[in-house]
Formats: sequence, structure tokens, C-alpha cells
Amino acid sequence: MQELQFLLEGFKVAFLPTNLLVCAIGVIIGTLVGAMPGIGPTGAVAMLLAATYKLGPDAAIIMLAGIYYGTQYGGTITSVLMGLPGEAASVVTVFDGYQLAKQGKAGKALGIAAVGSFVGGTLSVIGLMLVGPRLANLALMFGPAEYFTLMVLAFSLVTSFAGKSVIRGFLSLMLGLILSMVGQDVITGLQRFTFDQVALSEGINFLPVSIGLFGLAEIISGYEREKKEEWIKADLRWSKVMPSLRDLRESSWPMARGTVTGFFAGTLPGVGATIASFLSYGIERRLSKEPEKFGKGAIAGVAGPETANNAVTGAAFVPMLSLGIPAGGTSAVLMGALIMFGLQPGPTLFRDAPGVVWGLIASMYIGNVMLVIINVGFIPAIVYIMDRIKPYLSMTILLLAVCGVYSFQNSPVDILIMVSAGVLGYFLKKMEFPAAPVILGMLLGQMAEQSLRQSLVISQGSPLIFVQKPLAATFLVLAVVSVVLGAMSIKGKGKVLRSDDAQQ
Amino acid sequence: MGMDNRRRGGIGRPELITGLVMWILVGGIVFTSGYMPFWVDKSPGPRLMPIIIAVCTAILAVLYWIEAWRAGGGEVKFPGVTELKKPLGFIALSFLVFFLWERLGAILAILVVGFLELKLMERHSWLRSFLAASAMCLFAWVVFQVILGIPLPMGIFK
Repeated sequence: MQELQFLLEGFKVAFLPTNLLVCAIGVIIGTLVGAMPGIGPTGAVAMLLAATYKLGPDAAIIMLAGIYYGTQYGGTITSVLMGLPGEAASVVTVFDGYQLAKQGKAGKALGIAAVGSFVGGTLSVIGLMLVGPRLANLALMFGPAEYFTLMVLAFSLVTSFAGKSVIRGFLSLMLGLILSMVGQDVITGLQRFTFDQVALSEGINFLPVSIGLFGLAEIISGYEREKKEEWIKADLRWSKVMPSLRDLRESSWPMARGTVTGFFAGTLPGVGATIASFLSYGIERRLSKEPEKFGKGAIAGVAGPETANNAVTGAAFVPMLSLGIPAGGTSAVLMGALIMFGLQPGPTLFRDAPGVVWGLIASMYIGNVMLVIINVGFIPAIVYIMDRIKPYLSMTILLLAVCGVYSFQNSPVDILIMVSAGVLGYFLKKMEFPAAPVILGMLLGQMAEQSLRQSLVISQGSPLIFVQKPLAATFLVLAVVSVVLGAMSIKGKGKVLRSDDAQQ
Repeated sequence: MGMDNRRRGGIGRPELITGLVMWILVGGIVFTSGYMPFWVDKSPGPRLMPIIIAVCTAILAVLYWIEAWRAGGGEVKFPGVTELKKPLGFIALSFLVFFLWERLGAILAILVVGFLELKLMERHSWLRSFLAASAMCLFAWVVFQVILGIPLPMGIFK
């Protein structure tokens, strides 16, 4: 099979000493970030993005991806030991994981979660390997009309399922699109909304905005909350964490179902790890012979959702790499990283930068192995480090954010933009506007505009081109359906937890 | 306690202000894009997309008000002054970093802001705050300047 050949080439890239090292650093940072309530994967990836610029595209994306899927592993630790999700996708793990910890079975919960995460993460990478190139080949046939409507579909999916209101989601998107208009017009070169400021003539870079919106805003709102988290004291030696054969047998079907749920959810922009984990929990409870045990320490209630939320991570790369459409906030930032290195995510990426793509895919296999070893054998060390870092966390994050943002273009204006975006992000949080659509709008705004204008040139000004082309019309119909479904699901499930980290 | 914006059958004050801000944004886009051509030589010009966004934002702002009104107002509770002290403090420190960054230099800026944050907001002792802030300076210099080779501003040490 051709994919195996590419994968072998990818392993040659992934096994380079520098790439192995950055993969290890990435997954460790990701685990710590995931375990720490206060900063999510999107903020962490955004903050470290600028610092990875010197590493080159393959090392940088390997490290950033490692942070991303590492957070899904790490989020389990505080969910189980504190009853507090380290990041949004681990909310469901609290229901049964924390109960297991209170029963003296914290090691069992953490072990099963680690193994489930490994299974979900690894199988989703296999899915990425098989689906990604085929989807990219299909997308090579797209014209400007198809691209524009595909982006409209992506906008609709992300905004319809992010946050508590479709209208607020779309308003966030409009904000992002407005920010993407600042600077030089892509076609005529005319300066737009720069107010004669040189600093704005190149446009507003997405990096300081994303760090501010996801990183700083989270820290600012964290100062409002009472912070009184206490760990459950538990024996977390690897012998206690390593799951028994009986536990593995009991968890095998939930893990299998979680993988499928997570992979399909992850390929859909906007659905995300949080929704995938809730879906998995619902499925396991429905299929269980003892549903009354759920919420009181059911192993399937940990195994399924943890597998699902990690299966999302590999799947999220499918639309991002193949179509140039990010599945949510974190993959939007990762996509921004590729653009930063002069690579254009989309169908041509597999052809133009196979070393980067297949190196990334190969590194994800390696990273998942590293993570299961860390999360089974080194949990006491992780807990110790987190306890020591916590009092200095806010300042460390501000420091990393400022240095990282400055290092990108050596411009202090980027620091000002970042802080302003942090304030904006804080108010967006208070007003319950999701932040992911803002970044999506910023990243895809200019491409969407270019596709729109090219389509109208081809059709000599007629907007009917978007309904006359079958694929474009299909995307538009799906976009409308997604908005309707999003509105219905928000109305019908007022208590379902959604957060900006459903953006991934 | 936060401000209680609950009013029967009305829009909460935060939602009203947010909608107004959206409308101001719409007006700003329409007004400031006035000089741009809408159509150039039978092809869409640079004003097309801003106007589309402005129209969509205007419609969405109205829908947002309707949604807020139907919710009965007071969906959003803004924190009170006491609860806002620490968030505003952190915001002020963030702006201070920007102000001091090139004037004092990166290392001194981190030292000053780090010390202030740890002492005033996290309520550590003088010694601990100073030592931790110094450690952060060293960390930043080693990681960014030495390892990554990113030139941080020297400021007064230039």
C-alpha cells in the first residue's frame, strides 16, 4: 500500500534525534498543560508556536501536535484526583473517574484512561493515514466556488456547535472576518482599515490574537474563581496504575466504540473532543447491562469517553491537512503554524510537503507510545510538578506569551495586540461568546474572500454559480442543515456542557 | 456579588451594550470603507466582503437582541468591583509589560512585572517574590536568548 511507503519515509523524519526530542518535550508539556486547569491546549499551542519558529516546520509541528494530543491524556489526572477537569474534554471523566478515586481506585481509573487514550489516539492516526490522502486527492478537483462553499460549511459547523448560542457563534465569526480584512486587499493591493498605521499595513497576525484570546483570557478569568483544589491522596505507583487483564477485557468494547465515535466526531469541524466524550458516555450508559452504576464509578464511563476524546485528536488533522479547514480552535492554531512556515494546508500539502505531513503522522504514533508510558509510570512525578508550579503559573504563562509573541516579528505592537485580545477574550467569555470562531474567521477570511471574488469573476457576477455547481450546492445545503441542527441541539439540551474547548 | 441585571421581559444591560457595540462596528465598516470600490472592471472590488460582513453583523446584532429579550434579560451576570480587582490587576500588569518591554529591556520588564504579580496578586513574601521573578528572568534569557537565539530587547543595557 502506498501509504505504508510514505509512512516509512515519515518515520525516517520522526526518528531524527531533534524530532524525537521535540516530540517528547511536546507530549510532556501537553500532559502538564492538560492536567492544569487554567490553560487549555489551544492557549498552550498558541503560546509556544512563536518559540518553535526556529525549529523548522517539521520539528515545530511535531512538537505542537504533541502538546495537543498530550493535553487529552493529562486532562484525566485532575479529573480523577481532584474532580476538576484539566481541560474541557475531560469533564465527563469526572463523573465516574472521581468516584473511583473516592473508592480508593484512582490508579485503576488513571490506568484505564491512559490505555484508552493510547488506543483511541493510535487508531485515529491510522484513520488519518488512510482517509487524509484520499480526501486531499478529491479536494484537488475543487474550484473557487466549491472552496468558498466549503469554507461556509466549515464556518457553519464550527459556529453552530461552539458555545451556547448559534447567533453568538456567528457574531464571533464576523469579528474574526473583520479582523482578517485589515491590511492589504489580496487582489487589488489596496490598504483596508489600516488608518494609515504602518503596523497594520501587513494585517493583524493571528498569533498574538490567538494567544490573547485563549491564553491570557483564561488566566484573567481564572483570577475571578476561588481556587481551592485538593488532591485525593492515592497510591499511584505504576503497579497500581497498570490495568489488570480483567479491567482491559471489561473496557475493550467501550474503547472500540469510543474510537469510532471520536474519529467521526473529530473529522467534523466544530464537533470536538468535548462533544465526542459526551456522546461516548451516553452510548456506553445506554448499552451497559448495569446503567445504574454510571456516575458511581463505572469503568466503561471512563474508558469510552477517554478513548473518544483522544480519537478526536488524530481525526482533527484530516480536514486540516486535506482540505485546509481547521476542525476547531487548536487545529486552527496548528494550521496557522503551517502557514507561518510558508506551507499551505490543503490538498496540495501532501504533494508539496510530504516530509512534514508524514513526519507528523509518524511522530503521532511515537508520541502516543511516549504518553502511555508517562501516564502509567510517572503520574506521581506529574502531580508533584503541578503542585510546585501552580503558585507561579499565571506569571509563567504571561512571560511565555510575551516572549513568544515578541520573538515572532520582534515587534512590541504584537504584545499590545495580544494583551488587547486577552481583554477582548475575557469579555467574550463573560458575554458567553465562543472564541474559536474568531480565530477561524481570521485564518480563513482572506481565502474565503478570494474564492468568492474568483467565483463571481468566473460567473460574471452571478451568485447562482454557488447553486449551479453540484458540490458547491451540497456544501451550502449542509451548511444550512448544520445551523438548524446546532440551533435545535442548543434549544433541546440546555444543560449539555459546551465550552470553547469543544473547539479542540 | 455581581451586578444583577435581571429585568422582567427586557434585555439585560450587558447584552444591550454589546448589541450597540456591534452596530457601531457596522457603522464604522460602512463609513471607513467608503473610498473602496465595490466593483472593479466587472469583477468584485475590495468593498464587497466588508459590506457583506457589515450586513450580516447588523442582522445578527438584531437577532442577538431578540434572543436576549426572549431569555428575559439578566442571562449574563457581570462580576462586581471586588471580583474584578484581580482580573483588572492582571490586565494592568500585562499592559505594564508592553510599556516597559523596550524601555527597560525584556529582562528587567519581566523582573519588575513578575515581582509585582507575585507580591501583590499571589501574596507571596518579598523574598520569595523576588527570587521567583529572578528565576523567571534567567529562564527567559536562557530559553529565548541563548537556546532559541531570539534577540530580546536590551532596553537600558543597550
